[in-house]
Amino acid sequence: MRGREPAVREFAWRQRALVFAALLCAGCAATLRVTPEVAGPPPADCVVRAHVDYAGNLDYLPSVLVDDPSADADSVIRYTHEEQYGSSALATGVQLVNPLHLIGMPTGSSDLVVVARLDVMRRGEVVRSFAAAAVMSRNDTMFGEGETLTEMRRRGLLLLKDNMSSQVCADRATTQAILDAATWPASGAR
Amino acid sequence: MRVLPKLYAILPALLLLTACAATGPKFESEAAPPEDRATVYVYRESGFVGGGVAYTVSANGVEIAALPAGGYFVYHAAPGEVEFTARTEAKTSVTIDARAGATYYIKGTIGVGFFVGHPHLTVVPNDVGAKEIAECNLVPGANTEGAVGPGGPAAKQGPFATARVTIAPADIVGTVAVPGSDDFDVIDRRAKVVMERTTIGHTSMSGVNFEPGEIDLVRAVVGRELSTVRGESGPAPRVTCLVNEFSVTTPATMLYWDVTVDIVLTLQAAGQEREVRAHGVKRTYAWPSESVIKDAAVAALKTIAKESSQALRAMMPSAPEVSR
Repeated sequence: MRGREPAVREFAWRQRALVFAALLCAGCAATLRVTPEVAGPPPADCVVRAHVDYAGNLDYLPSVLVDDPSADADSVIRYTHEEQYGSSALATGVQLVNPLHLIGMPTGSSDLVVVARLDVMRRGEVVRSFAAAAVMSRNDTMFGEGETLTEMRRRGLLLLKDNMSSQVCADRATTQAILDAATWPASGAR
Repeated sequence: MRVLPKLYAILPALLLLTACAATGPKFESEAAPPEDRATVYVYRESGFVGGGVAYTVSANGVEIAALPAGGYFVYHAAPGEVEFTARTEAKTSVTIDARAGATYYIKGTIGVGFFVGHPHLTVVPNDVGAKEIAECNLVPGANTEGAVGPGGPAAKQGPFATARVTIAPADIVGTVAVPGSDDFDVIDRRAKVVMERTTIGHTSMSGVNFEPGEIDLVRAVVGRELSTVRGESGPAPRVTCLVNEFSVTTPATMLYWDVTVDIVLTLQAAGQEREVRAHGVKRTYAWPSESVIKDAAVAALKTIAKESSQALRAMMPSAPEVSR
């Protein structure tokens, strides 16, 4: 360092600090994308009543759906979701010798795709469908995983729940008409 | 003589690698899995790096088996959500929605850690799992049925056992009846459930369980306030209570623990929303015991009762103004 200007030295230290901070941040980074995009949360008074066919945790059922045993037996709303996991990691040999991992550089990543589907059915036939997907990714570092896959799954399913509620509410008039119709399809409908 | 130091260096590594290898028979799929349960194969392929580290896999908090490199075990899961966890210096967790009669494969791996390798569990597609598990050996003595007590691993005792906290809602809000589910919904909206007793450096010591559960406690407390408000104001619109947070943490210093219970709710009624918050803290210089956690939780729930009552009255215009 002897002979170098103080300004150059300061620049070098700043650069190192920035690289250090960037690596630390990279280790924590998690990405999330939900599709389709919806305008906002559903209105609090939006409710769709029908027989609901859902076998999972009720926490993830769109809040607009109310299982109504007295509803038309021919109309059923079926809600399903599933998850796909993926992961990648640097070769272990590289992880062992790369000193940047000591300051938080990611050693690998995990991905999770959660897909939800809502079918409006009349007499066993699907007459209207809604779908939503959440794509999540997180980095693993030497210091931990950050958010676990369980937490990511829960977050994704809750986001899809809201997304699906918003989609159904935006289409509530048609959906409820289908569910309540004495016959479907009505002549000229669809 | 110069060979000896090298031998000393290699010997521990060899011991680590051999001590934890699975020794049971090669993989065979179950001939007759139980029809009323899901069959979950948990496996870990052989590997040189981290091969000496075996980590214990638990299902919904019940220990099933230690998973060494090249080992597998079978777990018969009751239908519903099952969370598989493992921990060394870092925690990993993955959840499946088990269906009766279905088969699942959970793959364990190990990554580089600071002091010890990090476990990693993930769900893999059945065709991938069936192929990769073929070379694994059965881990003997696995708690396949997830039994607790006789037949399974004994429940942990002492300071590191899960803290079980029993709270009687009647002690907080009296014995007014809770409205039915047609008029009042409580929905768990917590993105992350933090119920943990920790010490310095956020090192986990144990989980915390409430009896009844957190959501049932909120239902009892807010529901009873709703019944009281309805008794004063007459028929009222449907109320939805979203539980955004109900957490127990015990941040610690060298001298004390602050046992902290945080509750955040959103109450929805008649097209309106109100947020209700409570923060109960009890400091202890001895130990964050069940009774200290209970005191913090009761303090938070009492605040929730008071705040909910005010919020519900504000959302129901016909209710009389009552200063509490």
